[in-house]
Amino acid sequence: MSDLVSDFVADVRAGYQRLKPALSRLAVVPDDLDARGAVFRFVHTVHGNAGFLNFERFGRLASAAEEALSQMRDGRILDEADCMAAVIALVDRMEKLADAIDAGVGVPVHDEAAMIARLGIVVPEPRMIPFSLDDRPKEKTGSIRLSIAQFEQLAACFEGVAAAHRDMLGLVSHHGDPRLANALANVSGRIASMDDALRLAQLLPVDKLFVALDRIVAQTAEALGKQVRLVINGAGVMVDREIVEGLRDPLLHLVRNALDHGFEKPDARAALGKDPIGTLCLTITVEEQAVALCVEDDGRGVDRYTIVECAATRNVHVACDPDALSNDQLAILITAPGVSAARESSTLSGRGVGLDAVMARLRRLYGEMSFEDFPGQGTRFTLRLPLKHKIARHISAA
Amino acid sequence: MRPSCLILDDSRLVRAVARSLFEALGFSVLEAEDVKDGLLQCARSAPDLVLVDWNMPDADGISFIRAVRADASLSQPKLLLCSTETRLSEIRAALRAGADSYMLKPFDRPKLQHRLRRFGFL
Repeated sequence: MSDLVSDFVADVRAGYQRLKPALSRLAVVPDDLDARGAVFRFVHTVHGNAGFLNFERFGRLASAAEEALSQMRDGRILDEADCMAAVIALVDRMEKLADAIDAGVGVPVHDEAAMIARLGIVVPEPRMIPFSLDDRPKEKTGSIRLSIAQFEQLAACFEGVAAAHRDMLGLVSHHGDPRLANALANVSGRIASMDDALRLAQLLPVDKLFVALDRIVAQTAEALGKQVRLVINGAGVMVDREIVEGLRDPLLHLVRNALDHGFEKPDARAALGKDPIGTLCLTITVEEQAVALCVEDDGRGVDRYTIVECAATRNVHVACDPDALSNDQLAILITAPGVSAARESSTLSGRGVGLDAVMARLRRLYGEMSFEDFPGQGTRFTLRLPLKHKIARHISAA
Repeated sequence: MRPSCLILDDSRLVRAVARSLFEALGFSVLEAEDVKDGLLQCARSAPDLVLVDWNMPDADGISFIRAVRADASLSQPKLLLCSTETRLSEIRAALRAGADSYMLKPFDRPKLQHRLRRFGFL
C-alpha cells in the first residue's frame, strides 16, 4: 500500500513540474485556454487518484479546483482572474502536501477551507473509494439498540446452551459414537465463537469513561479560581461495559476531589515554584487480570492534619504523628465514611461522602483502590477492577 | 486463455491500482502511459479490453477511442473509459465516439466487476 502512496506522490510532483509553465502563464494571463486545460487535467487526475487512497485533503483541494475550472470553462464565473489565483494557490498547496508526505512531515490544514472558499463557488464533496483488493462485503456500520435486559437474556440463553453442550460432551465421551463426537466437536467450535462474540459485544472503548471530562474539569477549575490541564492516556482501549460504567462515578469523585483539595491556586503554585497550571493526569491501562485507572494530580498532596482531626471526630483515632502515616494508613483514613480533608464543605466535595462512596462502588465490582501521597507534590489514586472477560485482555484499539 | 487488458493512464497510481484489480480477476495486464503508446500496444498485442483514461499528456481519451474504432486493422477491443468527468454531455460524447462503457474514478472491485460481467469477461 505504501507503494501506492509513493506512486501517488510521484504523480503529483511530476504533474506539478509539467504544470509549472502553465501556472506561470495563468498568473499573468488568467484566460489562457491551453494553460487552463493543463491545470484542469492535473487537478482532475489528482481528484480521481486521491479517492483511491482516501486522501480526503487532496480530494477536497483537487475537487474544488476542478469545479472552479469547469465553471470557468462554462462561463459561469464573473471574476475569473481572482478565481484563477485561488485555483493556483490550491495547486501549489497540493504540491506542498506531496512534498511533505515525501519528506514525512505535516502541513497545517487550517487555511485550506479559506483557500477553497476564496473560489467563491459551491464545491462538491470529493469522491472517496479507498482501493482494496478485498471484495468481502464492507464491514457493516451502524448499530442496533438492545436493552441491557434483552442482552442479558440472550447471554443467559447462551449460558444454558453452553451448559447443555458440556453435559452432552460428558455423555458422548462415555458412550460415544465417533460420528456423534465429531458432530459435537463442530458444535463446540461454534459455541466458542458465540462466547467470544457475546463478550466482544459487551466491550466499549474506554473513551466513554472520559466523555465531557475536559469540560467538567475546565468549568470546575474556573469556578474554584484554579488552572488545570487535563491529560488522558490510554484512550482507545476496549474494556467491558461494566468496567466503564463502574469507573465513571469513582472517576468523577476523584477528579472533583483533586480539583477541590489537591490543586493550589495559580499564585500559590507560582510562589512554590510550581507551574501555575496544575496537571491532572488520567491513565488507563489493561493489565493481565485487571483494568487500572490512575488519577494523578500535582497539587499539594493530602492535608494529613485535617484528616487526622476529622477522623478523630468520627472515632477513628490515629496513634502516630500524622507526618509519619504510611500511604496505606492514609488510605484507610480518607476512605472512612464521613472523613474529609476539606476544612469547609464546598458544593463540590468536602462533605466526606466522596471516597467512601468510591470505595463502596469499587467493592461491588470486586475492585480495589490504592493511594499514594507525595506531600507538596500531589497524590496518585489507582483504581483496579478485575477483568471478568478474558478477551478484554487481548483487545486494544489499533 | 486468460483475457488481456491494456491500462491506458498517465498516472502510475491508477495503473498500479487497476493492475492489481485486473490481475486479481484473472486478466493478463499491459500498461501504456500515453495515447501514442496505447495505440502501438493495441496494434502489437491486440488486448481484449482497454481501460482508457480521459486526460493524458499527448491527447485525450476520446481521440484514442476514435483512432481505435477508425482503424480496421486493429482487433476491436472493448473500450472502458474511466475518468472523474461527471458531465453527462462529455460521457455521451465518449460513448458516441465508440466507448463501450464508462466508469467513474475512483473505482473499486465491485464497480469494475459489474462492467466486466456486462462485457462477458466474467
